[in-house]
This record gives sequence, structure tokens and C-alpha cells, in this order.
Amino acid sequence: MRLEVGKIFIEDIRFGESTHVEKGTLYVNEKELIDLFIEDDRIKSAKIELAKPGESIRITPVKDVLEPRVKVSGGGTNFPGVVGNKVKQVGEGRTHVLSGAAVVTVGKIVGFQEGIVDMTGIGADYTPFSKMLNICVVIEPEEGIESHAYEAAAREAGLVVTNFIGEAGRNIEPDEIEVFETKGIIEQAKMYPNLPRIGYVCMLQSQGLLHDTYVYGVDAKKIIPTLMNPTEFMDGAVISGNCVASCDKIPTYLHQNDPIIEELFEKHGKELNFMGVIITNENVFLADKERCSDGVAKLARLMDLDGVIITEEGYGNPDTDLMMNCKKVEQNGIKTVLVTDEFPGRDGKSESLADAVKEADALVSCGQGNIVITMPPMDKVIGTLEDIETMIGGYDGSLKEDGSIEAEIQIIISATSAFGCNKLTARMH
Amino acid sequence: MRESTIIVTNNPLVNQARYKDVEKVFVETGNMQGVLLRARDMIHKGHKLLSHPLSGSLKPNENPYKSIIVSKNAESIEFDHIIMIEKGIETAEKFFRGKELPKYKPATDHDFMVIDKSIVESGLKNNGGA
Repeated sequence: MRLEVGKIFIEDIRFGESTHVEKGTLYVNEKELIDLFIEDDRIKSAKIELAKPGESIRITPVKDVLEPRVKVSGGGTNFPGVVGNKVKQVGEGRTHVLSGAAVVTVGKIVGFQEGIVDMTGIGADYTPFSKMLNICVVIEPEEGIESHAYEAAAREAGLVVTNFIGEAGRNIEPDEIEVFETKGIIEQAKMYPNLPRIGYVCMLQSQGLLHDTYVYGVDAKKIIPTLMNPTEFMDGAVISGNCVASCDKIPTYLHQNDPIIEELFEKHGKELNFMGVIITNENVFLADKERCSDGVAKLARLMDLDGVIITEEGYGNPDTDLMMNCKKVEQNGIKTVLVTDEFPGRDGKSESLADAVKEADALVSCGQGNIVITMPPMDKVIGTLEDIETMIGGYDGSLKEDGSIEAEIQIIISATSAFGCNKLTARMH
Repeated sequence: MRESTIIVTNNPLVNQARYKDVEKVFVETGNMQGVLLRARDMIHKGHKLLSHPLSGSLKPNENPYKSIIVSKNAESIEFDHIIMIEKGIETAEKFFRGKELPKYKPATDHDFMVIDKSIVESGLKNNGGA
């Protein structure tokens, strides 16, 4: 499969008469965007707010972050199989990206599982989304609706708004075009016979309400491991429907811009032969864990891989999936490198993961989530500070009178995400 | 065929719910440790551990509620399951040493119940071919 990704660099965002791109500025029309979803009877009210890098703005509670893209050719739509989009194979042809812009869905779904994006100050250093021009969709649910209904409404609103904005890039000539291509397994293996054949095992969070991920619209807890072309992710085949601890979170944006996939393509044909992606889930039942880790190892062997990189989303229960995947893949004579974050307590002295196997002898850390920082007050809050102290990472006394927040970095969106989108790590001494 | 199961829980919402072929053991405890310990005792007696003790990706010292699914039949002792539940208890203790469970507002407390119930139900739904 071959995908051309055309990046249209967005330098500024502003409100305008209509939603369009002009000379590097993305104009959005609030009414146009809100009209896309406001008739949903699960939603009471909504508004659009803008946040730019360096502004004194705190966005919270953040549910998801998405990147506006549009399929220009090659079939299918961005985010296939959801919000009325046809289920059609994606990952081929050409896709335009409004690069530098992001849609952020904001609103309290449950009192503890959404996080913070600060646009300036120390908190901004910990999240990749402080560097984006953010179009925030702030959603207020109808009173009395169940959390899962509101989660679905907010998720769907984010998807339709993002696709609508993405359309603005359809007829714009991109500033830069990148080409990503992998072949069928046999042809790909022959292409670079002297390079190690490397695969990527992407574990998708799938435990239940607010812990779900969707693949072509299918709830990932219902899949068995399967093969994906890396370019399918770039067209939104995998979307986030979850609010795990904020720092662990893989928002939709990171599935669209998976740093592991990008890095593997970077080294493709030079240091390694990138053979493809295996997706699997992180279910609650041990029998599912057995079934799916068996499946991961089987696919890795069928692809005749020499090595795999495995990433996870979440902490605790997923650590067991991570270790089962590692052990079974290694038992097939295939080397593994694991990528995860750590929770060793504030002093860093406790065991970092909830599970471990002896085969897990190569692991990249994306930092530890229990570190405490103090984020300065901001001039403006998009959303509400109401739940800061009960969010994961916050505690009694986290929110100070002056509006500053002392909390574990767990509270910051994607601060230690196991996709390695940040700069944090931990090393052995 | 679906296996008959027991849910060990301290979550009132799960305790009130009705599920087919499911018994419940309600543990009155303010945090999840009591649930982990009760489940451990059952696993030592030969019940199989069916759901992961740390389900939910919520740290033990942040989440007041826990539901663990074990088999109704107690036939043979599975050492892997004993190791897994003991590790879960160890991990929970580690977190409690650093920081106690916060006192949540009633609405947030209720959210934790809802999430735990949803996780348990997603497990029960998928329990088709264990």
C-alpha cells in the first residue's frame, strides 16, 4: 500500500465567516461547526474556543485530540466506519493534513479520567498538544444522561467536527508531500533481504466504558489480533474512545501520527525492513489475554519477523498483556522491545510495572507518571477546574487559591504516552 | 458454553445488578484491598481467576471499587492465578504505602462505581469461550 500524505502547514487559526484555509491560516466558523452535532439530544450546549501555543490558557477536562485530515484520492473517508462514514478500506492514494492544527474535545465525562493541556508554562512542556493550534469543542451534556451515552456523543462530535475542518484542505496544494509505502509480505521481505524484518505490535485499550478503542468502527475488545498496513492508521482507521489516566492516553491524534510508525518508516530500507503492524487488545478476562497473545505470536511468526516493538496503553492490567505478548513472541525466536511508561511511586523506588517476565529484557521507558509538578495559574480556562482534585494525578489541595495546580504529571494528557511522543525517559543507573 | 461465575465485589452497583449464571460475594470494604484478599482466598481454594485483578488502568489508591470474576467451580488450584492475584495485592499495597485513597465527592464516587460495573460487564459479555 502506498499513501501520499500532503501536509498543509497551518500557521494560525481564527474565527471566520466560513471554515476554510487561506495563506496558511485556518478560519473556523463556530456556528457551522456546532450545527454539525448540536441536534444530538445527548448534548445540551456547546461552544468552540481557540487556544494557541504560548497563550496563557488551560484546557481541561480534555477527552480527545484529533487532527483534521481529508482523503483526496485512493478511496474511503478519514475515520472510516464511524459517524456515518462508509466502511471502506483506507491507507492508499492521497491524504491532505492541516498540519499544526488540532481539534480538542473538552467536557466532563466522569469526574476523574480526563486531563489537562496547558498552552504555556511547565505543564506545556509535558504534552505534545501545547504545540498545536487547538480548536476546542467544549460540550455540555444533557442533565441525567449516562456517562457512556455522553462519551459516545462527545466522541462523535469530535469526529464530525474534525472531518468537516479537514475538508478545508481538499483543494489546497500541500507545502510538503511524504510518501509511505510497504508491500505484500513476500515482496517486502525480498526488497531488503539483508535487513532485519521488523513488525510493530500496537496494543489497543479495550476494557470497557471509557476504556475503548475503535478499529474501522468496531470496538477493539471484540477483535482478535490482526494485521494492519501502517498507512491505515494515517487515515484514521483507529480512533480513541477512552479516557485512561491522562498521561497514558493515546488520543486519536497519536494514532493518526504514531511516532513509532513514523520512526520505523524513517529507518525502513536503511536499518530495517518494516513489515507491518499487528493490532491487539487489552481485555479484562484472562482467557482473552491468552487468546490474543497467542494470536500476536502466531502473526509475528507467520510474517517471519526477526523483531517486534510492542507498545501498550494504560497501566496495571495491560502490563499483563504486554508481558504475555513479549513472552510468547520471544518463545518463537523473535526479539522484542517493549515501550511503556512507569509508576514507581513519587520517590521512584517501587516496582514500575504491575507485571514482568524474564523475556522482557529490552524496554524503553517513556517516563514516570508519579512525579509531582506545580503548574502556574493561567489567565483563561477552557472548560472547568471543578474536578482537578479528583482527576487521576490530582489530590486534596491540588488546586491552589491562585489557580495554580500541584499534581502528579499523570494529570497531563499524553505526558508519558507509550507511543513515545514526548521527551521523557528513565535510564538504569 | 458460558461458565458459571462469582463476582467478588465491593461495588454496590454491581451487587444490585442481576446477571444470568452469576453469583456475588459482596465485601464491605472501603478500598479494593478487601476484595483482592477475598478473591485470593477463593483462588487458593481452587476457584479460577477469570478477570485481571488490576482491570481498569486505575491505580489501586485512586479507585475505591473493584470487582473480580472467579469461576463458580473450585476444582483445581491454578498456580499462575495465585501468582497473578498475589502480584495484584503486592501492587495495591505498594500504591497505598505512597498515598491513601482520597475522599471523593458523591458524584465522583458514583462515577467510579459506574466504570467498575462497565468493566465487569464487558468481561461478562466476552466470557464466551473461556
